[in-house]
Amino acid sequence: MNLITTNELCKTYSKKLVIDHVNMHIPEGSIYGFVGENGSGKTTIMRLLTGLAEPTSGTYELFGLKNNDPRIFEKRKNISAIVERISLIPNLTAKQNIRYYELYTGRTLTEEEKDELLKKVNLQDVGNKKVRNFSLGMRQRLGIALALVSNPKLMFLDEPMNGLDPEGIAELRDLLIELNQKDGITVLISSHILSELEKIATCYGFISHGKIIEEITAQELKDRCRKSLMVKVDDVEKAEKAIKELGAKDYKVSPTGEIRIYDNFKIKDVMAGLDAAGVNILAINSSEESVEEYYLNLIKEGK
Amino acid sequence: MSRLLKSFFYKVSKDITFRITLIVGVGVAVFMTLLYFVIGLFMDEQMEMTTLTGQSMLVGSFSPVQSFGFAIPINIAVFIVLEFTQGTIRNKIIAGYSKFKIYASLFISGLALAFALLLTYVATCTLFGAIFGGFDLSVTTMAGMSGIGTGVITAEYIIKYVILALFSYCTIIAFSVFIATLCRNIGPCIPLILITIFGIYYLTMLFGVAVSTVNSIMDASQNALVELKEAMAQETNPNAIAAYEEQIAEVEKTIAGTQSTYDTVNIIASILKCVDPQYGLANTDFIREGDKSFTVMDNLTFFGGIGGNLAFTAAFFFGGACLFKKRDIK
Repeated sequence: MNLITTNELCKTYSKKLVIDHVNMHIPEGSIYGFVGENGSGKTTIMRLLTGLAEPTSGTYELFGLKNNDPRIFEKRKNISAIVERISLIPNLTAKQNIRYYELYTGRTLTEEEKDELLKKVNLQDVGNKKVRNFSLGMRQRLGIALALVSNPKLMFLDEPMNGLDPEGIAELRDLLIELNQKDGITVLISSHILSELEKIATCYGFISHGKIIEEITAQELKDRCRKSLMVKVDDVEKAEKAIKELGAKDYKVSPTGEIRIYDNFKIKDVMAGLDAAGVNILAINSSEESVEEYYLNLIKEGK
Repeated sequence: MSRLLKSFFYKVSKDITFRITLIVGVGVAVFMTLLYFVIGLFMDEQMEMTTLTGQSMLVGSFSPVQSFGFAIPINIAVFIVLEFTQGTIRNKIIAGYSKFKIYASLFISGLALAFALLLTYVATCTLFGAIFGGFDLSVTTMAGMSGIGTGVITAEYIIKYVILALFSYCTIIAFSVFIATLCRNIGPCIPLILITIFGIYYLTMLFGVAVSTVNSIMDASQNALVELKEAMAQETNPNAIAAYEEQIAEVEKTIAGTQSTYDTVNIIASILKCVDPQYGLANTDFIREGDKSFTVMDNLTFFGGIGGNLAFTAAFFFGGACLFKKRDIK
């Protein structure tokens, strides 16, 4: 079951279409990695789904309810989000900020629960320090702690790893996995650190220029980012013919003169085959495509 | 809604700005009382009155354009703008509150804070006024806003004045919340609020003076016309009659010109009276009984003031709520 489904969602700002007929599907219980270049529309989509902005056209469903259904306000109580920036009250302490959240979300935590929550985000030692004196990383952690106050079923996290040190990133990663696996919280997370996203996401949505270019599960992505042999040659046509003669079935030719062979060949066999066909090899190496490369290729193809 | 209000008040209770404003309010109240006390030392004997009394401070301190009054809408606007700049509005929307509920909570919270500040200031002024000058509703004292006049402040006047003042503040706070949610930035917000509140008040005052000035010129011209006509009726010399006729035509021309000026000024003044939420407060009338003047507020001013303020409050509230609903939150 999808917790979020969008249907031809569009948003224009000053007559410019920034979200272009987006159809997204976020399965319940998933960690949805939202990937896209700066200004691709990730944050705008999060703003639309959290109710901060209204779609220009198109609709979305949240917990099975359409965005114009008045009952959606009740469902939104199951959501928490950090979109664009962390909303904290600078002249209050961490615990006072939690208290403030408690008051309007209607959930009351005991002192022990508050301590536990702060411990979860490694802020157990902040005491009575005002939030205005927190570092960016500490604010980020407190933002995440606040997002957990309401006991959400769905979390929107927009670049939550920004400002965190490597240790903080690892802790956040573990926390998100724990929240997802233990508490069943569905997470929509955008991040530029694709290597980190790769470690937690169970499915991905790739977005570019306001359009979703692909939605894919982590397993499918893993299959696509598999081991390959990359050959750069002087004559691509001849090389392609030679590779076919070697028995290659799964390969990709790029316009830059690169051929990526996914079939399991040894380097020396490929070199011999190309040499026999009179093709000059400029470069050859065995590689495994990362999510980042996959994404960059996807964007290139999209363009 | 109650959760939104609770969270807002929790935030304000932890905010040092509100406590400082309250302390400043009390300080200004004490200063103003002492100021009138000193003025009274020099003037009371000459003017045969008591400048400083509890009741004079009570009605004088309600003014939105004098001493502490103008700080109240600014303070409220600051609190509302902070909701936007700190991002707490965003969190409330994400948490599933409708924009209408959020706007309504901002207005109610703003109103409550404004009344807390206002009543603290008024109570301090009244208390210190009563300590220094007593609270005797039979003495001639300063009545209404400072500079308005002197007379005996009646209990009925105080009740009407306080009720009307509270309604005036409803309009002013509804306007401040409207401007704060419109600007979402303290920079343009404060000048806009101040210029509007002071601008309308002083324009109303200015046009009120203009109406009475033009009215006096008209009266003088009418009297002159009557005198000229009487004089001409008694005249038999044709040359003198011709001269009178010339003078009468001149005066009639002046009256016609003044009349059109009066009509224009009067229309503007009437419109401003309707738009000015403080009109009822700024225009204290007096009736003379024996050797004393008594403050009065006629029912038209009182009920008209309440009606006008209710209409403005509703207009700003619903206008603001609609605007807030339509605009995206950044």
